[in-house]
Amino acid sequence: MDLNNLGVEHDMIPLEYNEIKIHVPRINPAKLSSSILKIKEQREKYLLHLKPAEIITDLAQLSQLWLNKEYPIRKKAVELMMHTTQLSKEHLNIAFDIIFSTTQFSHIQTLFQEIKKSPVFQHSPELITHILAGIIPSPCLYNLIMGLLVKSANIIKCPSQEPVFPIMLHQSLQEINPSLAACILVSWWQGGDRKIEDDLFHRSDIVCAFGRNLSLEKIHRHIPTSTDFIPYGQRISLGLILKEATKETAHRVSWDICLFDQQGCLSPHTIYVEEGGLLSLTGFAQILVEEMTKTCHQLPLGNISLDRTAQIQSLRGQIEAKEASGEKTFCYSNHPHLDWTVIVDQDPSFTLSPLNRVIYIKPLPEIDRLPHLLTRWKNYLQAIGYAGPLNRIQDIVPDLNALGVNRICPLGQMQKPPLHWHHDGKDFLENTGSWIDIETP
Amino acid sequence: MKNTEELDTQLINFISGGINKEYDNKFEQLALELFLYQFSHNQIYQYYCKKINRTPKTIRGWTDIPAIHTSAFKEAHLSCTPLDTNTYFETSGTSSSKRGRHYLDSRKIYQYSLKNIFKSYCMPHEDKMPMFILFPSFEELPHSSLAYMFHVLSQDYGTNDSQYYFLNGQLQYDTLIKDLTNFTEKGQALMLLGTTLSFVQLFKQMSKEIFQLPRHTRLIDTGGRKGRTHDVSRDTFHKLCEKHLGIHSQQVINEYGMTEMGSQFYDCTFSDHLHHKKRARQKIPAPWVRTQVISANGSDEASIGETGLLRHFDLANRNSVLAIQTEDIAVRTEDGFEILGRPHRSEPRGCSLTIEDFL
Repeated sequence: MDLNNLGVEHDMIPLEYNEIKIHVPRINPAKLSSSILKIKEQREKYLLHLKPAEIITDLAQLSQLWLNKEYPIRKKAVELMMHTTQLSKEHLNIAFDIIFSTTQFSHIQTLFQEIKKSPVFQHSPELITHILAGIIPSPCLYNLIMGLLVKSANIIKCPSQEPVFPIMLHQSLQEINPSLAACILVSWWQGGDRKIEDDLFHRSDIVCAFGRNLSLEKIHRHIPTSTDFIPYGQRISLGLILKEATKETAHRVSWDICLFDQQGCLSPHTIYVEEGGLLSLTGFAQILVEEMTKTCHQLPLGNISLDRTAQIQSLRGQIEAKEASGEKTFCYSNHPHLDWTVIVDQDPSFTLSPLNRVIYIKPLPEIDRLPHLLTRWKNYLQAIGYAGPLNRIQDIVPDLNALGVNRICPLGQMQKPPLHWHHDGKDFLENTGSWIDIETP
Repeated sequence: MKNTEELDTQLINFISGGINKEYDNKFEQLALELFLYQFSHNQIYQYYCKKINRTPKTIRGWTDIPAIHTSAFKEAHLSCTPLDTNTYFETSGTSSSKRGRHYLDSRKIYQYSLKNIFKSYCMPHEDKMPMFILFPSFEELPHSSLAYMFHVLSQDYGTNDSQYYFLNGQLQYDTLIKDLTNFTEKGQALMLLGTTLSFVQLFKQMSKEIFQLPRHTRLIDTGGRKGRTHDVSRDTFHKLCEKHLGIHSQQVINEYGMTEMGSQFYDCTFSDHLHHKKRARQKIPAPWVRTQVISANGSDEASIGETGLLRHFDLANRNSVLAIQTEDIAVRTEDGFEILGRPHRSEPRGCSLTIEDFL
């Protein structure tokens, strides 16, 4: 299967994904300079003169196309991404519906209002390079939108794990507005390829990179001081069920857990249930079990790998042995199947889940204890999804923020961040453009 | 339900029949009796079986017997007899990580199984052979099942000039080379036993020493009690054995076992060669063992040629649990399976912090 990227001088490289090979474009290092020049020139002669409303309209149209399940490019993407992401067809279709519902005209317009206030709007970066990673499509979409709204030329590196979505998204944009699409170059290359990255990093104003923290450190070492670097690393999120929350919360929690098989930085690892409320720890867990069963019907497992199976089975074995030995822990699962696992654990210390729809449910004696329980995870924290009155969390927000929490949202919306969300606590707009101080004598 | 002694007698009789018996219904009958015994006497196991509704009343055949994951041995005392009557084997690991324990009230069945299988696959025609063991002694590692295994084998099948070549964790390289030289000059065949890793380390040290060990010499290597084969491929390992020791691949026999299991598995190649049988190198369960290769969905058996995770049903596990779910990946073969190793932890699929990346 070939994914051709029009207009780029490239080789086609086969990448293997279980049973299939996907040929992806790889920019020819000898032609990198001319390719960069090409998209910069396109930006100069076209993008810089485009009215913001025209960009917003094109991007909104892109989203509308992808909200149509029968759209041929989306259908092809789903077919291929089943192999790259290990997500089922049903799961991918639902994921696209959710993602593109957050990038409608009004959302992009709201984002643009923020951009307008920032210095970057006056002096947009010439070239932004986006190094993508992982299987989740949202970062590609959100970065593409941001990169065009600030009127930069953009180079997008496809993740090795999932190269399909960036390429197909670009193909859609080519259908809508080839001149706009010509300001973007989408390519795969082996991460760390110095023949490509050294030159590219020097010529970029900004490099945004997603990935494992170790990989980001390696990339950072090669970023020249003249180039801004915005890393988005591995993070953890959690849920908080306050005393006042009702059992309907469980349905929303199940979606936050199951979407993307819990692989995203916004996926909760642990759900805290505040003691003394309408829902007891075990009571909530039992309701969650029912909801996980239903949600997993709608989001059936895709191809599961042996290492994933081994991980889940091993953890279940451990927890069940503890349970059988009289320890205060309990494992619910749809044994022998692997769709979901709910572990009730009386130990309130935060626990990392092995992901793949394995969730810990833990007690929270009182709300003030939460920051203390999360101290060890400082700088890894991302989002807290809550259920109950928001004002009950207000007092601990400063402490949570000090630990790195950058998003507090209702449970059920964890996987639908707004476009202007401070991913990893960063403000993209603050990192772009340049301040100028003018002094008088 | 049979008591412990009656059950042991039956199991020992069955195991004593050796590995060349035809598979028959005896395994199923004994497996179901053993399951009933373990369900009744092993409280941890009984709890688990009841939880998933697989009890003596609900199961129909041996494949329904619930398998306990090897990880459970780290968290619970899986024993059918009082703990104060038990000895144990323990998995290796770092001082900070939890170790799994396999409890035994008696090593009798263990010994029967161990010796029957070993003799058939590794020494069918000899009563005794000199054994050179590249592993610490049982005195040094009193809770290592591998050390115990080598101890029993060297006691029963090793000649007086058998020797250990590991002391205080160090390979006794010079002594080993001297003794190999001696045996080569005498033209006396021997058996080398050790972990794959210890042999690979030996070969790295043997820069100048090359041996053509006497005909009929054989080498038994094991991945160690984690059930893990070393990162060196089997082909490469065989070539190293031939290059450094002059041992042909037919006489290199890989052993697979684990702390949590009483029975072991050996490559069939050497035994097949002696019996003029031609088939692919594979590991064939003894008649008192059944092994399934379970596919990634966790429940279906893989077809021949497909890979999966190993699940063993071992009648030699009388005191603990007979059905064990492992993390070992294997490909199902015509008559058994071939080990591929442990799952490689693949790259994270998203931006969520994983346990492996945090540690």
